[in-house]
Amino acid sequence: MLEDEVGDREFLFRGIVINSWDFENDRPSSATFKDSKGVSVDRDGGRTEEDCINHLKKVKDFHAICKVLTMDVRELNALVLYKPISENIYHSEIHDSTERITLRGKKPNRIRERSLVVYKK
Amino acid sequence: MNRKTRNKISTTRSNYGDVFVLAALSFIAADSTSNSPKILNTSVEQSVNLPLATPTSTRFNNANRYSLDKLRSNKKILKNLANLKSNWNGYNGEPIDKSIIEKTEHLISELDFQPQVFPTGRGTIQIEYFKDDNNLIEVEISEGEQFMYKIEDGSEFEGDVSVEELSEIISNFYA
Repeated sequence: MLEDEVGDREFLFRGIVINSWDFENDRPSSATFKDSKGVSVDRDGGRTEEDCINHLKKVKDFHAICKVLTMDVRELNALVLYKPISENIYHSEIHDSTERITLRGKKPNRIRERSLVVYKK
Repeated sequence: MNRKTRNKISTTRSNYGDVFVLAALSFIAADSTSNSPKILNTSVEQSVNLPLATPTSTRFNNANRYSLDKLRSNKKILKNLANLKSNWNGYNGEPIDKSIIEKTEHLISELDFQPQVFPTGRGTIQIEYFKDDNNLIEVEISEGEQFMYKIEDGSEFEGDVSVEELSEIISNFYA
């Protein structure tokens, strides 16, 4: 059973499709972190990095997968919320703030800056 | 004037031309103190000496400036974005409306520098310019606005900008 609150030390994993990959700079575009209903991520929930990557690879044939530390996201005054769904007990979301769900402006860029690519085709 | 006379005049003109070419060449050869390179032409009509200017401004070195190839490539990317289906990114990504694709195509056609183009999961398009982490521009194009995030030498700006303002901001970014 996972804690209701995502721990500061947990990593958040996000798959990146080829359309969102910046080939000129070999990294994800910050557009990756611009969803309409909060940015969906998988919390690690105590799993190894390899388990997290394999779990995401079953969902889709992603071009790359990155991870960002929950604490780094919270330092940007964004929210990390645990939102499990039936198909994915690790599902969580990054929201801009308590007032707004969608990230824009500097936050998507900063999250991209702080994220590490842990898998790439 | 009969044909014989005309031919004679024509020959005389040709001789004058040769003399003028020789005089021009002598003048150029004698001008040995000049540092600027010259093009030596043998015809009188094209005897203007053009200095071979070497561009010194770094603005000439940006491959994306006035790049028709890059514009074509971006238009191709936009065309492909029109085919994105619902859930294209594995996170319920929304398809991109044709009007936003057309708006972006019009916008990038107006720009001196070609950006990188990416779809977002919320049905908008993002264009990006990147020098380094402290110098970049991201513009999210939606139906109603062009929302820009810019950081230049550490100084940040966020807000809606018009197409005209955007064009100027991007040109200044590379000036």
